Amino acid sequence: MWHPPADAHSRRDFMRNGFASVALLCTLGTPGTSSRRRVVTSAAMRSQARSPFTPFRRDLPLIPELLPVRRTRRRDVYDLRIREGLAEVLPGFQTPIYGYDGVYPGPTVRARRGRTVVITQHNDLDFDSNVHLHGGYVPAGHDGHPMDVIAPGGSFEYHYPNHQDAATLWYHDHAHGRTSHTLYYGLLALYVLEDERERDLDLPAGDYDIPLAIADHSFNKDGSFRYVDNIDLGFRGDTILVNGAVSPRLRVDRRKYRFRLLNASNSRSYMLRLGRGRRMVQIAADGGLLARPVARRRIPFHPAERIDLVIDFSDYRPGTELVLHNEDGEGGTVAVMRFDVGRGGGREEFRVPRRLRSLETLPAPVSDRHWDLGFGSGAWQIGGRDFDHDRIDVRPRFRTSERWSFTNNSNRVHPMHIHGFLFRVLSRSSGPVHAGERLGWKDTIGVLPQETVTVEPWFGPYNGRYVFHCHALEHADRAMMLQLEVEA
Amino acid sequence: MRAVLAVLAAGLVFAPAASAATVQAVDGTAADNYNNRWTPQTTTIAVGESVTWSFTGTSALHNVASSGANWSFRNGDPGSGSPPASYTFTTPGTYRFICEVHATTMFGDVLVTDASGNPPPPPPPPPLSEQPFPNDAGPPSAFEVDDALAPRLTRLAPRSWHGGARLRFRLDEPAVVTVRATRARVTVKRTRAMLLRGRRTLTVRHLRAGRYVLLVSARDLAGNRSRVRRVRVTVR
Repeated sequence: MWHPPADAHSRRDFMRNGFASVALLCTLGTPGTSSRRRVVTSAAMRSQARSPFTPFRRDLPLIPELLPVRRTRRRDVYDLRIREGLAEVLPGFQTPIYGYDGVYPGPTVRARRGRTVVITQHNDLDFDSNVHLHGGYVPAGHDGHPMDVIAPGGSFEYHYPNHQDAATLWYHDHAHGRTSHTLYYGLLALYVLEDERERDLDLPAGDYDIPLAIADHSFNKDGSFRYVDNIDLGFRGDTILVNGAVSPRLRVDRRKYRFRLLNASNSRSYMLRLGRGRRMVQIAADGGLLARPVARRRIPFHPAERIDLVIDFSDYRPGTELVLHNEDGEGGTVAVMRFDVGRGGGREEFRVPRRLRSLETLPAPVSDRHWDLGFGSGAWQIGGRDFDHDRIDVRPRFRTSERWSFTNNSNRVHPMHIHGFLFRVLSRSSGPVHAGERLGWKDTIGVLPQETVTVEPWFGPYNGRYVFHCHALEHADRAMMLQLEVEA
Repeated sequence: MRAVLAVLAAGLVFAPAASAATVQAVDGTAADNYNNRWTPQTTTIAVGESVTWSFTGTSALHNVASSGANWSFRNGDPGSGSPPASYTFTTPGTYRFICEVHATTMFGDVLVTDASGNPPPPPPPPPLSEQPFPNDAGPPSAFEVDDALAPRLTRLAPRSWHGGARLRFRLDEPAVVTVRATRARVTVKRTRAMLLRGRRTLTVRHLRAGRYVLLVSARDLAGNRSRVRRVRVTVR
């Protein structure tokens, strides 16, 4: 039986809404907010004040970066505590969460290629937890296999070698059967891996390189997260949070920005669009840079996927407001965030290079495998099988590539994710593969209803036991996961 | 007496759930499952009677299970076309049931009255931490807004100041403000500055003594121009 984070049923229930509404009224009443040509009545003020869900009220929270406790010549050492915390998600409310260091989203790790990152994770919760570096080339013992857990009060030292290309990765809980709850309540964070090759491209950096963790949530009247289980659709919230704020706004200079988007939702897929269908330039996918930049006006975005975008705000006049929104949403799940174009930015010499990288050619696939995705005997299944941690379902050969086809026989999207390895997308039965998926490495691919998607994973650089699963977390927790073992 | 009530899992997109006790035969495979409902949603029986849940007319995955701490019941894992399931209620009260697959829409209550037919006491309201707080904001009305509002200049207060004219005014958004000092409709001097919102001052220097008309205008970041304001000042 699941229990929300401690303290959720406490005194905060008592008169919480009353106080919050009064506090909000006070903040709205300051001079200057009642702008010209807008009819402002006290009733309108009150109705605005009552809703903490009004979009674009808050500035985008910037996710803190984790500082190493120790640096040596070849490694950065970090220390993190997996614990309960409180976050102000709705203005005037405190939301109980689980968080890395009690923060939602957790602190971002910035790693450099070739420098080992060691993170000691202490489990201060009263149930098992573990940490999976999603998209990372990580030895099997440090990958966060669902059965390799950190017991309450225990700790584990995760070693990440970072022998891979620059990419936007993320780390999150992966204890079996519980991820739909623990990720929903906050156990997720970004892991940004950088390398020299990417640095030479002079992409927007520093204040102009902004991670955006997008997730849908619902709330209870005391401000706590509301979770309603749905093993069919997966969880669907009625509010979009970006970096832990309800559809926030970001004031941008008239210049290029790099945004690292992470779909941190349990099961929601998005169709992203900027303003009236403005141009966004995709430069990277899950596994790092694309071979060349790809202009996009509409981006399907499935759970656990990452997309790096460059948006050029010098195309817009100051004062313009551009809403990044979800075409597939309704009500509060339409607005993702808003960019308010300001002055400044100056003259910018930078252009996104026409070539970003050369993609490695894969060896010819040595095997073809087919996986049917569907619901059977009370659980979601891959190839007609539930998860069994005592059974190895597939044994690819080390440092070979294979052709894997996923056929979705259900009416739900299944974002399929392979641990420890990256793949290339070969084909989709629904039409051509978009260049944003074809020209780079990926670790998660959204398989649409009644569609067959073929990918080509490369089983290196580490061998051992890993899992692959659907990243709609309600599906993964209901056994939509199999084990693979790569033997040297 | 043993009364048997049929509660149908109707796969039913357009079927109004309010049509109590009607038997809706709807093909559950033809429709998306967003609107799955129990029909009827609320059933009243006397203590000792039973309720039967049946799953005819839909091929979507369903089951029935208790929700809430006051009873415990589950007919099995969700399946397609499961056999009907029954439960006999022996204590008056309100009992909530759900389909575990579609718990957000497919829920209902059984009200069990006592032997003399008195309704059960209403259940206590759940704490705030269990009451939904729905997002009432709705989608944004526009996905792209160009700044179309002109800046406004108000409370203009000119005065003579060290062989020139100083003008105080209020500006309601960041803008480039231009002040032209004119005499007999000829511009004598001009001053321009980028100013932030608020009470601001701009000075036109080196004017000869005499009477002038100051023409003040503002242009915001998006290029919207305010209307030109005129004020008189006498430089001494």
